Amino acid sequence: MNGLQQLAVLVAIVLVVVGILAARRRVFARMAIRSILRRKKYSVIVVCGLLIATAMISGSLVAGDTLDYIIAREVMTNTDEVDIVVSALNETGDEAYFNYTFVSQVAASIGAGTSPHMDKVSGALRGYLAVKNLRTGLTFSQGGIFGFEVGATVNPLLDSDGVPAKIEDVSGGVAVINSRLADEVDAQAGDTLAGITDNGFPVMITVSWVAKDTGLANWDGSAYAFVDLSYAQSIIGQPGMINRIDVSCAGSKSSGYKVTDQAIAELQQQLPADPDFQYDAIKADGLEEAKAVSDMMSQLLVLMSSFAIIAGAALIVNIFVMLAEERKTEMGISRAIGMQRGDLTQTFMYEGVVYALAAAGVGAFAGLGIAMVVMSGTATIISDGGLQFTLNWDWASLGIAACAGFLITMLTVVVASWRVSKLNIVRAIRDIPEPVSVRTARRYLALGIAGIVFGVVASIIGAAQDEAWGVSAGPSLMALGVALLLARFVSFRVPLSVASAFVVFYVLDPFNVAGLIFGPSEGGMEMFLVSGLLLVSGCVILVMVNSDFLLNGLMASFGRKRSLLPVFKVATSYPMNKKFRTGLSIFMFALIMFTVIVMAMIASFQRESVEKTTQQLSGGYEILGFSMLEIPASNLTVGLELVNESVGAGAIMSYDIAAEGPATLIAPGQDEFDYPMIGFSDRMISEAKYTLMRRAPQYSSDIDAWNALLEDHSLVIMDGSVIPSQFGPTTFSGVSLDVGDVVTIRTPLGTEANVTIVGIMDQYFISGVFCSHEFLHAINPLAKDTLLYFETSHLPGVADSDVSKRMEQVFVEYGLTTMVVRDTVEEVMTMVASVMQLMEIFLGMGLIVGIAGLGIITIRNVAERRQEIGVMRAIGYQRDMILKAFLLETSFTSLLGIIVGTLMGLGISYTIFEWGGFAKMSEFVIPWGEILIVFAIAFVITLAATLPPSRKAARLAPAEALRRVD
Amino acid sequence: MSREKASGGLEKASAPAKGAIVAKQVVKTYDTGKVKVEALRGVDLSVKEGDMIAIMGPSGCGKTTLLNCLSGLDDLSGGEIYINGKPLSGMNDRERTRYRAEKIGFIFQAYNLLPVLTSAENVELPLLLAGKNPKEARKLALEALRSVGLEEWSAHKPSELSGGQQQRVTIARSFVNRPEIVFGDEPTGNLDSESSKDIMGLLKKLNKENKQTFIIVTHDYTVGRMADKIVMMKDGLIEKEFVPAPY
Ligand SMILES: Nc1ncnc2c1ncn2[C@@H]1O[C@H](COP(=O)(O)OP(=O)(O)OP(=O)(O)O)[C@@H](O)[C@H]1O
Ligand SMILES: [Mg+2]
Repeated sequence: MNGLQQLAVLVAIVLVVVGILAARRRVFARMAIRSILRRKKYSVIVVCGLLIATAMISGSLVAGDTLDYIIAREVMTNTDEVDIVVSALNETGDEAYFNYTFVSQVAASIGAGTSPHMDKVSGALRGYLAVKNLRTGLTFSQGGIFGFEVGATVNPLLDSDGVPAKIEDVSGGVAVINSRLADEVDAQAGDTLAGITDNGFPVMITVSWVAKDTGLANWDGSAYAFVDLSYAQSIIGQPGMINRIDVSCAGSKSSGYKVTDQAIAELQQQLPADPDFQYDAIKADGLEEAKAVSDMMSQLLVLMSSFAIIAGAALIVNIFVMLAEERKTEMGISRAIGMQRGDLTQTFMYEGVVYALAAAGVGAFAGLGIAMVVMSGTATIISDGGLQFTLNWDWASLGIAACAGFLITMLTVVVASWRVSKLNIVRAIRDIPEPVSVRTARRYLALGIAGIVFGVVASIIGAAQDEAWGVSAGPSLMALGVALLLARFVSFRVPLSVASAFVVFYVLDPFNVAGLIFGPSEGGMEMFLVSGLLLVSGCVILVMVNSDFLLNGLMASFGRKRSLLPVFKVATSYPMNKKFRTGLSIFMFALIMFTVIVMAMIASFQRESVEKTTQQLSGGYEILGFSMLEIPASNLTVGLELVNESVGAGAIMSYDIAAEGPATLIAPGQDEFDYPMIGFSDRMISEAKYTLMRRAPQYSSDIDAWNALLEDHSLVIMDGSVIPSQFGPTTFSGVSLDVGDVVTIRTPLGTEANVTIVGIMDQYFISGVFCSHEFLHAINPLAKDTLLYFETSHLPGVADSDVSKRMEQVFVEYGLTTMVVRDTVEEVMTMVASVMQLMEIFLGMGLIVGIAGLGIITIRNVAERRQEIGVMRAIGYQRDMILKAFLLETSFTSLLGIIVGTLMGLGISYTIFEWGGFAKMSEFVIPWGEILIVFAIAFVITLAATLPPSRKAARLAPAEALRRVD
Repeated sequence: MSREKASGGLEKASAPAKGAIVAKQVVKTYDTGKVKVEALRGVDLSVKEGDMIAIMGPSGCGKTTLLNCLSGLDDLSGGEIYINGKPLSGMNDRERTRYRAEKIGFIFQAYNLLPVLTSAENVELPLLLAGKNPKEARKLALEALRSVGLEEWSAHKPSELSGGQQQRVTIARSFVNRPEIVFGDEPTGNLDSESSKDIMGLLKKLNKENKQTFIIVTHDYTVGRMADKIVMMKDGLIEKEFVPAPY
């Protein structure tokens, strides 16, 4: 059974059980349906509040489905007919050329029917090509040349109308270029492109026509010039050789990949073991990757939805407590005439089933809207809105969301029904306003003991397995449990205040107390939920047990205006007299605000980290350059002069050259890794351009550590990616190293050297084993001086990006690619910040739960307080005063929730900032504007939702209100 | 205090006076959509300053309706009510509400107090509505509670008080701002006869000392006879008015 079927079976079981119960005692079900229909507006709001959780789950899954579809579509168009790409490696691990005869061999076996899982094969020679359009003067250094079999290609080349175009004239220097390349150098049919391959061979290419970026022309999403295979072989200097075999599996474009494994097995049979052929299941892997990425996104979103789910559960409890209060006398009478407690539970439950069913059904579809928002956001982030998409969903996703939403809601409904029918009988029969009865005392005792037990268990798990959630939740639960026990002997206020203040302090943990007690611990995304729940609950409890003080304070500061005093008095007294529902409402708001604020803050850290990160990553060099070929020293100076002449004298102040050579890193006990060696120039080393995150203790400064590299060639410095990040035990580069470690470096020629790591850089942009220029060349003859570091002088009006572009043009024949460090950092950070903001919007949808909750409370309040409104009007409250009192009351609750959530969100953000590694690379800047906007939206919508019932209250005719009708 | 028959006093009472109420041909019809209920069918009534009037009559005869109309809580379908010579119909809701806040006190049979406020807070509300300094308001509220014998219960909420105690809090609230007129709809409705007597004694005392006008609806003749005048109603009309025998 798959997930959906399992869930569906559960739902069916629940419905059947409910159905049987209802059939046995129809009267209860009828009562439930009547109460729903009697207050339609109210029921609609209840459903709206409850459906958000389901909608967010459904939205998460549909967003995942859509992303899967988008990526899969991208994979499909980028590979088209090709399912498998075969390449070969030489002894040094580099890409090898091999003879075209292998293609003929495979083709023959397809023709003979011995390879039933393949239907097409062709050879290709792909290489690097930097081009310059002689007509427009534009250059592009990251292009490619694609030599293909004009007569036997797997994929067609399509013209701008999408029809296979004639390729007979593609031969010699005549090429079809794809639109991507055409755009880069503004080329059109008839243009001549000057190009240079990566072995430095200059070529002239005539553009025959420009192909649409689809099919072969869309190959791997790059900019290509498609030429005849034999021409490519001649300019790359590999006559008769190729470096790729493109294979199409049997079956259609979209289904062939399913037999990839069988096709590879057949290929392996046809092709020899030498050379070392690599079989890349390019389409199948791409599709799998798409699934993995989209699943990850779905899971992350579903995790984020848990905040709304919890808020939704609080909403259900709140609704049921209110329903029970409203029906107190009714229930008392029912019990008196012999209704069982279970019967009461049932009537509540039937009402809940209807809400849950409606919420699940509507919610699953409402999720499509949420997915739309999420996907438009994603599209904007990854392609500035250029990405075209339509929602694509599996009906199973909606089914899963609906079932899961229903089950979660039902579970809460059953628990809440059972609780309220139990609680209120006592109160209804005795009709006393809750003194601390023996029963409630026993309940607190049980709760307290449960808190302590769970707390101890969580602490033990936290201590034993270094689980951060246990470390956080354990002591917090224990503290609250102890407080509940103590509350039996003294009042609630003191022990609960102390315990909840402790929870807030302990979870925020400004002094790393948890670290001192438990040592380091590890946590993932679940910590966001755990700490959010603890902080928000702690703070809400703290506020609620001290609400009297809070109110007196408020009264003293705001109550000055005498005309508002009577309004203020009733507005604050009601919520404080219904502490449980007020607390739950505040909790709902606070929880959602918390998540939104944390996302806003992390986005802010990302934005603010541009300066510091740029400094760390750039080492003071504004522009980095990577060339395919070494640029001779004299050409470099001349070329840079040229650049300076065109953009502004002195624009490039100075430069340094570093060498780069391939190598394999062997660290004891870890897998071997391809890891380049970088040889810094003497000046780069002696001036210690790059700061160190860690250095061996014998060096008193970064300069000392760097200079040691010049004297002792067995010493190296590593980039920062080998240090585990704060997000988990893994490192970005896959190896985990520290200062003092001795590692072995093996060059492609087989020479080995043991080196000791004396420092680890802050930067992780360029990963490598950093040593002196001299040492690298000595040990690794394959090393080339192809890494260039430029310092610019920031001339007014001259952007680094202009300088960088100009350099690429001037050095196009060396295949120079440049990068402005600051711009790249900014781009990445902006993107991450946008992702956070997208999360902010997603999480913000949860606010609807809180708003619906307040709307329901207000509607109930107006109904409940008819008589009181009448009395107030009789003794002289004006209409607008009643309106103000109601609005103030909801504002009070929502504002308190918003403030608690904001404060806790800011608090945990500071902890994340300090202990999560942001302090070093960013600034703690609170985006007040953004927070105020969220604040305002939440508040205004709340007011809008509670305005209609409040208006109704104000409009009640006093004589009417005083009459005892319901 | 006049104990003369009031039936002929219409013209005289229309002269402005504190706490004087005159009703002329008051009609009140409830339109429930299906049926029209004529709750008041042309009531004439005149109450002079400092009078204590008891309205009596069978259930459903329109006592509460008349009280609501006299106090400006409800609109009229016909006729006019003058309070201190001013017609109620000339006032809008805002003015009437202010008028209630300043000049009128209410004692209802039940659902009198705001359950979330303490006794003292309930009593001081009219003072706060009148814009009194909160400290002074509290002082006056406590004084009022003392005069009804409840100073010790000032910090308790209504749910913690007995029915009679709640009623006394209501009374304290009704006179704390020295209103000219106090309306009571069965102020002793759910009290035992002993407590009713106490409460009526209290009202009578206030009526005498402060010259406040009292208009009280009651079913109970032992309560009604403490008034200066009893107005008997039947089927939406005043059947007769008489001065009860002194007790
Ligand atoms: N809002 C209303 N809508 C319709 N009918 C009403 C309304 N209020 C009162 N009535 C009707 O008007 C008539 C007089 O009602 P009222 O409440 O004034 O009686 P009452 O004399 O105070 O009776 P009781 O002694 O039982 O309190 C009754 O027949 C009642 O049904
Ligand atoms: Mg009545």
